[in-house]
Amino acid sequence: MPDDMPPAFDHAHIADQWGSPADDIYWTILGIFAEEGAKLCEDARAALSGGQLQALGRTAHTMKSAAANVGALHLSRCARELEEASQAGTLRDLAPLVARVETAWAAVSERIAEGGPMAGDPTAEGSGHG
Amino acid sequence: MAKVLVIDDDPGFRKMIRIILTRMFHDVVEAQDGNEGIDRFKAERPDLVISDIVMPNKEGIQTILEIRALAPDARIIAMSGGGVSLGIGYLGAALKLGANQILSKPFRPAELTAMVEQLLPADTGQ
Repeated sequence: MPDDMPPAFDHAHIADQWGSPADDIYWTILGIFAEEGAKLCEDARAALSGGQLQALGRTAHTMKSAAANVGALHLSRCARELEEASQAGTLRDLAPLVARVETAWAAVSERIAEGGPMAGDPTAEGSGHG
Repeated sequence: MAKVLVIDDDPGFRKMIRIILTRMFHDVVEAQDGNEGIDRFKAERPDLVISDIVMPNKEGIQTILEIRALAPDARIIAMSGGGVSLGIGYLGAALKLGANQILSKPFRPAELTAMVEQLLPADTGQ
């Protein structure tokens, strides 16, 4: 991952949305997002390859909301940029934005695999699940 | 207890809403796009519909219009992560075209709970 990439998860946002420690619902939807995010990345790449701008924009829109819901705000912002660009841009312009979403997703996925948004972060409050 | 139809292509939001509404002792029926949502509405006649806007196959505005045509007194919440189409915000358009309330994603569980309590008649509550 690039050193200057923003954190995969925004702890303050998660605490604001879900409490601290986070509500059990949060951990349920994070588990769903762990699978859904990978599929959305595949869908975005397929839509780009197939020249399907509308499908690409819709996939980016879904990623934007789903990522924000679990506090993956950098990924959500990348997806929003892709969504907006897909409504106005050309396929050549969109390839770098799809790659940005994939990179941001990789960071989120890695953190989930490590145990969750706060895993390995001693400064994070409410890091315990349950 | 009320019956609530949740229409959203995002399985995470469907699950989240199901858990919140189940905690309120409501029954939840799910659909993953507008076409399935219309079929479910006809079959189940729910007390409340919660529909996403941007979905494949049949999007939410069209879905809300069709539900409103089927049941003029239907209670409908439109939700979206935001965005604009042809210069019109998704949620603003949904409100103009038939939704009773709008909910911006992401939302806190308490926001959904309050909205559902407001829209459902007292005799369908917990």
